[in-house]
Amino acid sequence: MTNANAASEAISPAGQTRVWDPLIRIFHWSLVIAFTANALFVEGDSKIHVWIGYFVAGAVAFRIVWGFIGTKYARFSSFPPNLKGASEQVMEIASNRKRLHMGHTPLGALMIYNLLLTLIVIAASGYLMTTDAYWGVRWMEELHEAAVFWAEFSVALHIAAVIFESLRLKVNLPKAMVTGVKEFRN
Amino acid sequence: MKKILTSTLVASSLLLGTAAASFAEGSEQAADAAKQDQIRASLTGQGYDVRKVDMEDGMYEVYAMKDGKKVQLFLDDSMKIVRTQDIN
Repeated sequence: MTNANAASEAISPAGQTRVWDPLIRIFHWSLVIAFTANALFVEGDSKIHVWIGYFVAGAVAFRIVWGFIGTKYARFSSFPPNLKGASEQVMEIASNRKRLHMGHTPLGALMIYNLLLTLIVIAASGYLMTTDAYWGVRWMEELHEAAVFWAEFSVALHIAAVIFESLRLKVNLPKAMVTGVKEFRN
Repeated sequence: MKKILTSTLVASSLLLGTAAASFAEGSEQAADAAKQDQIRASLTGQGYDVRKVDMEDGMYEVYAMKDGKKVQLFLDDSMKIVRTQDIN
């Protein structure tokens, strides 16, 4: 119930709430560009691939720091991993009930932790592949590729879920990640 | 609701297809075992520490170390080194 109270407290009369700060939005979209570039377009053994990888690692490091000291909805404490909340959200979808969330929903939160962890595995294994110790070591390469595949699967699921929730709750979530403002319509 | 679910499922399966396709295309093939052994033996004799032998674009691509440096070698069908690339 605390969630619902927090939600109603933050909604302005017009049904608009500023949720994502500029750094969160820059983080999100630069990650989209960097990940897409490295996963789909840039050659794996090129220098640019490695530099983009360092950028992703830096972005994830920033996000983790921001999760502790950032704005309200950016903090991990505002979206702790919560399996009970996540299963409630599933029930809510299944039973056609609607509940609005200001920041990340419980399922959304799980996706964020999944993506951050997966990106850490990708960046770490990718870096190790460039070291003398793991140069040309096949299992490290396979770990890197498997993690990328898992990330691609997760991104597809993430996009599908964002579309689904936007339509179901009548909130344009992609737009909110651009403008920073969630607009709730009735 | 049903419509939403259907369109979402269609969109996500398209995305997944793209991901799967890129995964299949992105991976290099390991060279066949006999040829790998031959290449390993030959290059080890030349002072390389061979880590991996792959096939890429009809050539053998070898990841190795020599004198503490990472190198990438490309060999043609007759196992002749056609290109050497130092990696920093």
